[in-house]
Order: sequence, then C-alpha cells, then structure tokens
Amino acid sequence: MKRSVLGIVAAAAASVLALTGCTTSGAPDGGSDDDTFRVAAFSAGYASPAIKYVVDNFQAQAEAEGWEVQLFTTNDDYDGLNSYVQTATTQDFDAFFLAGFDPRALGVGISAANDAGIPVFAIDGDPQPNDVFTLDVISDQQSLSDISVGLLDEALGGLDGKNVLMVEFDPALSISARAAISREQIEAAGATVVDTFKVVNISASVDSTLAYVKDYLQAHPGGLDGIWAGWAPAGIGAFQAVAESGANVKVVSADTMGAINEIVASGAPLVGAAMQDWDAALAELIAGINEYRESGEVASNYIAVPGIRIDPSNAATVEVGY
Amino acid sequence: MAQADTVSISVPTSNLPLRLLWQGGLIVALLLLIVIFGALRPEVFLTVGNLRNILEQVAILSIIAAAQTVVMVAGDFDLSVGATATLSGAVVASLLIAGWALPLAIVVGLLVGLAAGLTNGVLVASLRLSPFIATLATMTSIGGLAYIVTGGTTLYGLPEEFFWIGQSRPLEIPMPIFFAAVVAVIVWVVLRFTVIGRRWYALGGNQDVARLAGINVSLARVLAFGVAGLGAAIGGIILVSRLGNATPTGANHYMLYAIAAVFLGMTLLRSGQANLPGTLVGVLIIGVMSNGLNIVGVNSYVQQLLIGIIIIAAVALSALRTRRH
Repeated sequence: MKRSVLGIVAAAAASVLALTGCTTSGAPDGGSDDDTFRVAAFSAGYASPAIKYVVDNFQAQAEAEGWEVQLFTTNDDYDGLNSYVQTATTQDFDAFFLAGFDPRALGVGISAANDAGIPVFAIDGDPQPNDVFTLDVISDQQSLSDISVGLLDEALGGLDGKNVLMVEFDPALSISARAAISREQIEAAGATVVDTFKVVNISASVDSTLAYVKDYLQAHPGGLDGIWAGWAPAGIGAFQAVAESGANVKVVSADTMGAINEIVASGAPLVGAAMQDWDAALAELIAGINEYRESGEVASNYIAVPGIRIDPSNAATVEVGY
Repeated sequence: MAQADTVSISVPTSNLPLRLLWQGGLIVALLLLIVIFGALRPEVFLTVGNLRNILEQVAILSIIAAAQTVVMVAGDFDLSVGATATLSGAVVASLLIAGWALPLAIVVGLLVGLAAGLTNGVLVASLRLSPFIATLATMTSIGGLAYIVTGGTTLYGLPEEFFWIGQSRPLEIPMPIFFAAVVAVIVWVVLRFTVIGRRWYALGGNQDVARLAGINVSLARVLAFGVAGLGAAIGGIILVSRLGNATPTGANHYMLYAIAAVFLGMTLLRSGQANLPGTLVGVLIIGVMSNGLNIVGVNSYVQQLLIGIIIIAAVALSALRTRRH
C-alpha cells in the first residue's frame, strides 16, 4: 500500500515538474495584442542541428522585427504536427512558418492553412516550386550538386573512369533531389556509380554509413575512388570509414556542419562540402514576409539560394553555426 | 558373491542430431551464416581483415549488450541503454570541449551512466514500476537530456588525446575490441563466480524464492541496473571517441540490437536464461549478418527486413524452448 501511494505521488510530482518545465511547446493557445504580427512556427525536424539553427534564428529575427512567434515541434511525428497546424488555423495567427518538414506528410495541415487563407512561408519545403506555399526558400539543389560533384572531380583529377559510391536518404526530398542531380552529373562525367547506400535510420547516419563504407572497402579493395554523401552526418561516417581503412578514397559532402568544416580544414580525405546558406535563406524569407505584409503578395513564391563551396582554403574560416 | 542384475539401457540417438541442433541452434546459425557468406564471397568474407572489421563493428554493441545481459539475468530489462550510452558520450564530449581533463571527464561520463542505471533500479525495485514502463520513460528523458547537453547539435573539436580510446590500433587491432573483450570477461566472471552474480541468477529464476533464500532482492535489482548503466556509458564513450564527435542520438539505435543479441543468446541455454556467452554469439550473428549482407550487396532496406525476421525467429525459438521446460 505504502509503495503504491509512493508511486502515485512520484508520478504526480514528475507530471508537475514536466508541466512547469513546459514553455512554448504544446497546442496553440492564441491570444495576444491585436496589432502584433503573430506567426506560428512548425517543425518536424527540430532534432536536426541544421533545422534547429534555422528555426532558432527565425525566431530570433522575427522577434527582432517585433513579431510574436509561437513554436510547435515534433520529432518526426506528422500526425501530431498536422494536428498542431490544423488547430493553429483557428487561433488568429497571421502567418505560418514551416521548416524541417516533408510537405507530402504535412499535406493535411498545409491544406487547412490554405483553406483558412493563412499565408504559409517555408524554408527547405519543396525542391520544386509549389503553390501551397506563399513563399518557399530552399537551397538550390543544382548548386549543391555542382559544388559537391565539382569538388570530387577536382580531387580525383577528373571523374572519367572513376568509381564512386553514393550515400543517400530517400525520405528527405532535398537530399533525394540533389542525389539525383549529382548522380546524373557524375555519370555524365564518365564515372561509374558502383554502389548506393541508402541510409534507413537518419539518426544513426554516422554509424551506419561508417559500417557500410568500411564493409564496401573491405569487399572491394582498390575498387573505389570517391564517395558522394548527400548530407553532413553521412559525410562524417564515410570519412571515418576511409580514415580507418586507410584507403585512397576522396569524400565529398553535399551538405556541411561545423564538424565537417573542421575535417576539411585538416586536409583529410574529406576534401570539401557544399554548404547550405541558411542565413541567406532566412534573410530572403524575412524579406518575403515583410513584402507580403506590405502588399499582400510576394514577387515569387519560390527562391532557390545557391550553396557555398567549402574546401581547405576556407573551411577554417567559414562559420556554420551548428 | 551375490549376482548383480545388470540392465542395459540403450540411449536413443536417432534424435540426437536434432537435439544438438535444438540445443546449439544459435551457434549452428552463426556457423551457417559464415559458411553462406564465405561461399558467396570467400576472397573477401573469410579474411583476417574482414574478421577484424566485424569485431570492430560489434565491439561497442558487445559492451552495451553485455550490460543488458546483466539486467536480463536478474529478470528485468532496460530500454534505456542506448540513450544512456548517447548521454554519457555527449557529457564527456561537452566536458572535454569545455577544457576538462580527460580522466575527469571520463569519470563524470561513467558516473552519469551509473546514475541513470541506478535511477532505473530504484524505479523498478523500490517503486515497483514495470521495467518496461520505467525504462521506456527514462529512455525518453535521458534522450531529452542528451539533446540538452549537446544543444541539439553535433559536438566536435575534441582533443586528440581522447581518440586513442576509439581509434588507436595496438598490434593492428582496433582498441574498441580490447575494451569489448575486457568488459565481456569481467561481466562473465562476475556473473559466474561472484556472490552477486549468483544472486542475479537466482532473481532471474524466481524472485520469491530468492527473497525467501535471504537475498536482498531490491538491492540486487538496483545493482543490476546500475551495472547496465555503467556498461552503456562505457560503450557510449568509446563510440564518441571512435567517431570523433557526439550527436544527440548517436548510440540510441544500439538498444534494439542489444536486446536482440541477449534474446538470441538465451536460446543457447536449455533453461532459456540470459547468459554472456550467448549474448556474444548473438552479437556476432548480428555483426556477421550485417557485414555479410553489405559485402554481397544486399539493399539496406532488405537488410532491415532480414535482420528483423531472424531476430523474430530466434526469440520465438527461445520462447518455445522455455515453454517445453
């Protein structure tokens, strides 16, 4: 009896602590100064360092503009996120901001926003222009491919006749898009894509890529010249595999983070990366929202921001922020 | 002298091979995998380099699975081992980046793992929560702590001196393999030859009987979880050293494979009880499967399907054997 009472008390105490720890997470609650521009920000990918950077900076910049931002995040839970968005359509928000999401999985929520006449602004929404967004600012996947494949081409002294392994993640539209473009470029340059590793669990990207590439190198000694990784953790895993095996293989990443830049700066087999310019994307988005507020429309609902080339000459000086 | 009647008893041998297969099914499965992959790619699979590759890849899983074995010997299980490994590694990384001395940072990381384990133990043993619910909850909270410690991003820029743990190769053998071997031996010795090890086995057999035999059941369970947390921390720290960075979810996926390895290992004993040698064989099966499927070029999506099917088959076999006894 005593133990069960203790258990109930412990559970209640934990619940109270959890509730007092909550700040902005949770269902929309509405209500604020009528003149304040209120934005509901949603993300299913807040657990990703890059998306967290984007969302946190959006929030900071929006609040500097005098807007009120309420943030709703889930960890890849689209059922929950769609519910948040649908609920928010009834809470007098002036605009929605989306980052780190799959527009296909958030279709129900986005439709609800469109039906309610609430403008939807997005970063990294859809690699292609999509009318569901008032404005979608995304990295130019062609640019990221040009940079990453170009780096590989330089590192290998030309791609013609070379063997390349690609690391991809199908569920992410952006990664799939640049993987498809890069594959075309690599093959057009005369290289052979000898294998494609499709990561299953993105939260284990480093580990799983490391294991796969090591096994591949073990199975094909001398049979690989380069590795193209579609996103930063996969690039780290591929680099680590090459470093451990001592193979003469060059690695490029079509995405970066601070850890990647550090490795590139050291002159390692990870020879370069394409950096997504989130700061520029945010600037475009904020400008687009202001344009919409003034005129009720934006000049274009799709902006593709070019990537930044990261190589040993600038890797030590370019700030990534995450 | 009295004449003694002798009776000849013939031992039926017709089902002996089947009995051996039933009894040693796990090892047979491992050998079968080796034979199959060896036949498919002999020049690659059956090499010293590839063996070293497999051992290196399963080293961290071995450590975490060994930790899980202790808990399961005692009749419980711990869903938070993966998250604990992640958190411990992240704590060490953040302390090193903050300038802490390496030994101290590692000690703190180990203590974090121990604390997580002891928390699980208290919840399960003292508050009588179901191990599944308690460790599911702590897994979630510990996962959240890992995000807080890392700031939701990847911690990098670790000092070079840290990398010997996960990246050095004495005698051309990756250091994690040595750590895994040491942990495995310690866990085996503790389980087999110490009083606490016998108590854990007694708990796993029947808690009521263990209590009646004078064993402090609560304390023993708390200690088992503590050991699991400590073992997970060791695995997590080695992982961070090997990768050179710490992420908010780096070791989370080890939980499922650790539990799978222990369940696979349980089929090795007639009693169906968790045991360290069986766990290691289970770990090897997972490692050989993954390595072999990669080497022969099986799509990663199909690999997931196959690994899941094999784990289901092994667990079902274990359940069947337990029911028969």
